[in-house]
Amino acid sequence: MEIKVENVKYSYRGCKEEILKGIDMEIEEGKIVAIVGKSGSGKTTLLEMFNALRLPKSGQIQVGDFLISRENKHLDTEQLRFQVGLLSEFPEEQFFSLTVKEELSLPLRFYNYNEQKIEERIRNVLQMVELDESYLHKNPLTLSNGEKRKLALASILILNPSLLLLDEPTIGLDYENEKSLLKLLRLLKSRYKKTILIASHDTEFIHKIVDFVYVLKDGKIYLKGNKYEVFKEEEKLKKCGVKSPKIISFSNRVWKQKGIKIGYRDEINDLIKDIYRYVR
Amino acid sequence: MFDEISPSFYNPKENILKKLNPINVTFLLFLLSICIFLNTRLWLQVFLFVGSVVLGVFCGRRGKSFIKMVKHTFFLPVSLCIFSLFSQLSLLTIVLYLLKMYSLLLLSQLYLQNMTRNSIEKTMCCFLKPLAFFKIEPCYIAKSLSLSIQFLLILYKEALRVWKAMQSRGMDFTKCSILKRIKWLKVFLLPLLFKTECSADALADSLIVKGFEQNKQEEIEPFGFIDSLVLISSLYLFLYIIVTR
Amino acid sequence: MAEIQWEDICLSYKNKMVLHHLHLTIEKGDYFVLCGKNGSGKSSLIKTMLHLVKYEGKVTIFGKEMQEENRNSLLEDISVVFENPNTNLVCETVFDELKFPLKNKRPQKLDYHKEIEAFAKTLGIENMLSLSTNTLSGGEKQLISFAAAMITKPKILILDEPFTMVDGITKEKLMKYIKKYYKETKCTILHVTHDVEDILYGNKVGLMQEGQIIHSLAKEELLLDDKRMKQIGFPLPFLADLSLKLKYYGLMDEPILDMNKMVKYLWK
Repeated sequence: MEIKVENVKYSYRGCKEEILKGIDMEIEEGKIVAIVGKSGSGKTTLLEMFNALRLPKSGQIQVGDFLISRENKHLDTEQLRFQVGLLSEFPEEQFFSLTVKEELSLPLRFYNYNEQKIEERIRNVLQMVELDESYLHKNPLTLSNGEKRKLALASILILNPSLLLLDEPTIGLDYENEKSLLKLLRLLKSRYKKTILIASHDTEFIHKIVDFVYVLKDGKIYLKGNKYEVFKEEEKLKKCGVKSPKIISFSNRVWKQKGIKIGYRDEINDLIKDIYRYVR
Repeated sequence: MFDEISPSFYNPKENILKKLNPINVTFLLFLLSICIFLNTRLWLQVFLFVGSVVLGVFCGRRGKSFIKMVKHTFFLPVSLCIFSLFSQLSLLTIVLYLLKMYSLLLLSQLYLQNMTRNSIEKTMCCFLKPLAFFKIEPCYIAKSLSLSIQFLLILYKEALRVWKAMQSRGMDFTKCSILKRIKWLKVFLLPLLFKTECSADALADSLIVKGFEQNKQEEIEPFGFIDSLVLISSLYLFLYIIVTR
Repeated sequence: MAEIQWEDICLSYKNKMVLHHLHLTIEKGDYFVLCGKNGSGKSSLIKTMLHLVKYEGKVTIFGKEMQEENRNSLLEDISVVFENPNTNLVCETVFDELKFPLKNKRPQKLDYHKEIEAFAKTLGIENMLSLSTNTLSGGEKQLISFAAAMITKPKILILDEPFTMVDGITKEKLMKYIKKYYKETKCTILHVTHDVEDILYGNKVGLMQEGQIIHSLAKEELLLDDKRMKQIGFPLPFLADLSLKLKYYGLMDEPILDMNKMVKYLWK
């Protein structure tokens, strides 16, 4: 499935100034890509265009066989939203059912799926997010924060989309819940071959999981590349209102102050091995 | 269309009306609205209608939405004119009636565009002072009104988020029948109700920790020269209409 | 003398125990960071302190017991910044937002205008005074919430997970103001968080789990090993974790919590 963004521009209704001034992106299937930028830089707006909640003022987005642009009047948004799932910020605020089962089965009931198929899908999706069947009769509002976030993700995964859009997935989550979300996303990429697009300013989390990073500044792609190439540019990221992950920042300091290149790492244990090697 | 008729506190652009004392503005608009209902003279109605349009245009950036709104409802007078050709009512009667209704519509726009939360709060505190005799605090009512206006905006943004989340989950309400929409209304309303309860709680906590219950004195700003001028001329106009109706 | 003291606090919400025989003391002048998972009862602790919920037990502030009757007089010297910037602000313009707590808590003052303008200058927000609070971004709203909390020069400042909805660069900017305020006024700060990096800002740390305070100690003592943090399911802050692991390799003796200092030390 090809995912391409070509010269997309967007401005809010009634506003002269464009929030997105010509975005070009190419996303490889089966990878995890991050869009990073400060609040108000247009990350959520860009994300909403991938499932046609907003249409670009000019330019186009290609998601598989779907062409999302203002000129394309024949876009089947229903079919598109089966392929592309968006998890918005604080998704647990959109729960409305008394049981987890009702919450998950709703979109399928909307399209009049039969009961058997609904049950099968629910079982599959709970397995995907690692919640067992005892959760089916619980009230979604009584679940813990981490479980609520997993349930929200499950309610998107139930339509079996191949492209997942996550808007600030770690906001409000503590360390343990973040760890389990990380594990889940890795599983979705490796076992279920989903393509994942994350919009966030939490670079610590993104660094642990992402393959490719785009940095937004003033409506344009300011930096792009793999995570090491992008996150090592601490000064440039600061101009965009984004902080580098501390583990990368440390290697940068060593390079700046002592002129020693100790390498950019993901895990603290690997960093320690490097430090040990270069200090001795 | 709802997007364009947004209250002025969301976009407080400087204009003539905002330079006046807020209590004066409220009073002036209140008088104008009574005039619309009371008078029967064509020239006065035209004057009021044109006057409110001119004021609206002066109301900064949002002046554009005045004209857009008029454009949207233009089909109504056209259809009524056609209706008059086949009915007993004269065209003039219909046009007069329409002018009166339009003036009200534009007047409500004026209220929305120029009544800031601040002016509502101050005016309410001033006008409701007699309630203190019955041990009802006017500042409590005024602050509640002001916060509910703020809350309307939060609720609107929240409703938009829920709408988009439902669309992302495959439930596009814009593409199904009215009956289906009514049947699935709870999907939309329940999250809003929960959010309302949480937000009301949080707002109340914020007010308490900022010491709201302690100082209940509301300051009344003194009237300036222009305020007095506007007030006297509008009172004169009002009395003239009462006497000559 | 203890500035804030919680004695045997029990709080239940919808038949679920949120706070369970809780005891905690915060001394005057402490920057106390309270760390715990989501759902451990941190925000409920704040609510009991401000008497916003019904609870069992005793809360003492400035040596006086917190009750419904004297809540308002005690709140004169306490300011709170809550998590959600949208519901922190209650007035229309930024100027009114700064004037509101000042007028309520310091009614004797005559010239609010001058004081607000001077205060805004110290924070660099004098250009924002006439803006409507609805037009601000999330980070700017939280900045104004902080300003409104600090303008009354409170003796106790409470931060209830204030950086959840704010990005990293804005957080750094806000923490600069808090640190400056703490240094100048030597007030007591209670910072509730689930982000371990915030521990580095304080001088005392409390760890909370399932409605109880399981540890309350000085920051330096906490960062000597990771046993206690593991107990509540958290790692140590990055630099403390790195220091501890480097100590195990014999490259470091004591934890160093500043990145530049650590690099200088390692490659002397």
